[in-house]
Amino acid sequence: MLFNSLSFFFFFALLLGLHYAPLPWRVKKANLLLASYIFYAAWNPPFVVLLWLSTVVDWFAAKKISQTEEPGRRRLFLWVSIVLNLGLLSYFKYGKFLLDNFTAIVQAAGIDYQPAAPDIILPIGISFYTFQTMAYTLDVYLRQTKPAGSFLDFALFVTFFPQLVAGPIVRPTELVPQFETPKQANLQQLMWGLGLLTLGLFQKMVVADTLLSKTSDMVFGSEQALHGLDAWMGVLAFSGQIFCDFAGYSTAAIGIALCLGFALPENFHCPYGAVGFSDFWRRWHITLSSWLRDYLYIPLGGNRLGATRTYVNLMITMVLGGLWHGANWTFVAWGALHGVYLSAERVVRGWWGHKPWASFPIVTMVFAVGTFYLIALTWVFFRATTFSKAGQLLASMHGWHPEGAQILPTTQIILVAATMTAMVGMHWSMRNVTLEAVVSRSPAWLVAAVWSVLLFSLIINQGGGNAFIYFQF
Amino acid sequence: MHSYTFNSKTELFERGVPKRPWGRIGLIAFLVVVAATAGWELYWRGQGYEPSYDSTDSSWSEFRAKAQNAGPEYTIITGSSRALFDIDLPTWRTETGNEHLIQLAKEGASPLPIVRDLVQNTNFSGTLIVSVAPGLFFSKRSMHDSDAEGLVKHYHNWSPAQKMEHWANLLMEPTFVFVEKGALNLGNLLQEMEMPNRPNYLAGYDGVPKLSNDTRERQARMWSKVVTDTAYARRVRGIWMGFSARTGPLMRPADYASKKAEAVAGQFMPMPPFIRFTPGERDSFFMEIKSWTDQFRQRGGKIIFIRPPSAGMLYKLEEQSFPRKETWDALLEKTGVPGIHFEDHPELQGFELPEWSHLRAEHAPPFTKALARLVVSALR
Repeated sequence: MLFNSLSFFFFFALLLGLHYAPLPWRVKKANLLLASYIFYAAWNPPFVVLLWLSTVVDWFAAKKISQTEEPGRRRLFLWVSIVLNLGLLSYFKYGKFLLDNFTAIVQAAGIDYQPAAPDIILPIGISFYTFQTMAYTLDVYLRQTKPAGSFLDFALFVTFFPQLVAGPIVRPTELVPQFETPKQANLQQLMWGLGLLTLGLFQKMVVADTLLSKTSDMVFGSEQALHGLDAWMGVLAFSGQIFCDFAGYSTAAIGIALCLGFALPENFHCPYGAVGFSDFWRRWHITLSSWLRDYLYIPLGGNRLGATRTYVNLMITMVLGGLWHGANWTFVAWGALHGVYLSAERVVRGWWGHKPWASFPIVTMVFAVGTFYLIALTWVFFRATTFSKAGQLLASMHGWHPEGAQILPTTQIILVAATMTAMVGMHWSMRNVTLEAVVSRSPAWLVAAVWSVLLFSLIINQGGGNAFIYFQF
Repeated sequence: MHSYTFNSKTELFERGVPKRPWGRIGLIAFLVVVAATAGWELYWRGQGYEPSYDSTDSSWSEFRAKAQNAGPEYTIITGSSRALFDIDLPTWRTETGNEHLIQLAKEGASPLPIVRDLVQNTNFSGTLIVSVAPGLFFSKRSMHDSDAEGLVKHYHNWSPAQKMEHWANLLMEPTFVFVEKGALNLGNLLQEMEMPNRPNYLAGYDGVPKLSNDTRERQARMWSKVVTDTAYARRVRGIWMGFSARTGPLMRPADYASKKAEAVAGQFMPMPPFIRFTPGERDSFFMEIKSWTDQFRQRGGKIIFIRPPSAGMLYKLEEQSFPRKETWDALLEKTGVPGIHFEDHPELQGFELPEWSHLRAEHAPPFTKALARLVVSALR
């Protein structure tokens, strides 16, 4: 079920009614769990079994780990969890990719091998809930948390519908304790939650789908070499689309959870106002980058094993992060580029970080623009389905095709330019302040007016209910 | 800067909420939005829009689901938009005395993947009426028309979420005009803004604007504006004739407009070779259709092809690109399936087609009445 659908509106209204009815807390939690399964099963009912499998195995694995001090047994149960979770993820997400690459290698060796095409459907959100459940077992193993007190609380942690299919990826310490005692939103939380839901849907439906997606689709779908302006507009449009699509989902998820009385962590904070790439990753998909940092980069040794190992660890982390997004070498290239950027930034900071001029506002601005430019280049690999398409677009963006096709009408160029100027401007101006702080300082009439405009534009924007891009990851 | 924190006393993760008079803010926003939406609805009603059901993959799938277990008493209609506009379902029922009717045509799509699906994936053995629009039916792409195959795939993978969304939309569509997903979608309204383009700008081709109001059972009734607004009807004719004016995937808008104008005036080129069959391709095309129609008839089903009217330069373009002898006549001959072509029956002629392709709403019932009699007679 999509947040940006009419059916979700009815579903959520019914669920809110049940959640605020005078029922025992345990019954309300059971309602939430059942609703979460319905929410997930609405896409493809059989895949609920995967959720159950993951839930049951991680529940017992974590319990067994916590019941013994014997390192071997603890490791054994940790591996049971890892193998199951990553095994399912690998099969469903990377099975075809691995087979394609294996076939290519074998054929390159001169062996005539053509396997039957695998017919694998990717269970929606599997990358998200796999990481979330693994975090639970890993935290118990690392003694960061105790096992959940009740199976119901743990099942709800794995399945909680607002963030189940596209994040934020929540840690057990953040969510499981919230299920232990009765939670209901007060009027302030309920209204702010609805406000965030409106904002998230506006980002997705109006900005991503209506203002930007058409341009991005036209440019990335074009088979011709494009004029520089068209290439740039397409890449800028996708930069905005991917942000609003994903951040919109996270904002809506946070709002929905808040309406029910639960707090979810921030997942984005003005990433296009970032100065440098480590700053970018503190603002972009925050819950994934912190997951990769805590469960991959640091266990690999982080920056504790010398300069060379630090760069190697960064590259491993970012390449795997790229692969997490999709089973294609273009995603690997996207992750690798970010690894290179982060490594280069460490070098540059070593040279210039301590210089007084490095913190001058104009220098900060130049670094911010440079960061945005380099991030935009990475989106080319993220969106393009082949390296030749990515190369063609990068060439167009840098003036190699002055006679390239001009496929964008003026209307779309203006829409993209205006939208992206506003978006980057807002990210820059709000880079050190929260949305909550901005709203707290704004007059009530202005908040009401902005909310009305967002809501009305959602109503007149009714469309085909496009799926969120990150659902496929 | 985080807008969330751990509460140090309870160790619970919490989110900050801006301290504003939220009750008042919410009430004002609600009232403003209700008033604005009411104004929006009234504005579009004033522009001649009426509530209409959307023609979506899910609305098609709903009726395809009915066809899955339809008994031999059922009649299923499939084809392209001409079947949706020209066959008036209530008139058909009255004329044939048979209430069991399912409309599975789809605008802009070839019926062949749908026929194949019905033959291969159901046990249906009732009556199947296949409407033929030459440009879509006798095209190289028709056997694997992506729109039609997409519909079939949508039905077979129709998820509970899509079903729920369909039923939720059905609650809104008969009441409100502004929920129409085609013409009144914000994205389409923005794209309608005309601005001067760069001299070397290359455009894609026109989308089809609103032509009909659709009923709950997927019948299209021509929108009154197509009949009364001659400029609008001319625009639609230009879009149909534009299919012959295309010279590549993209064209300069001015070149395309002038070629379309020439085509509307009768100086058209036949449909491009990527659409038309070579004789060898045509034979294997007919043989494949025959294999399905034979299979369908062997299990007791009755099938008939119909060719609804077209008019003006569009009719001439269709005749030039898809000569009747090589297409329609050959189809009937090779498959052995009966057919009704409007040219052969005076009672199917003389109706008004404002944009050359579809009957105006008032003319659909008398056309249907005559067609139903002919079909019943042909299948007797």
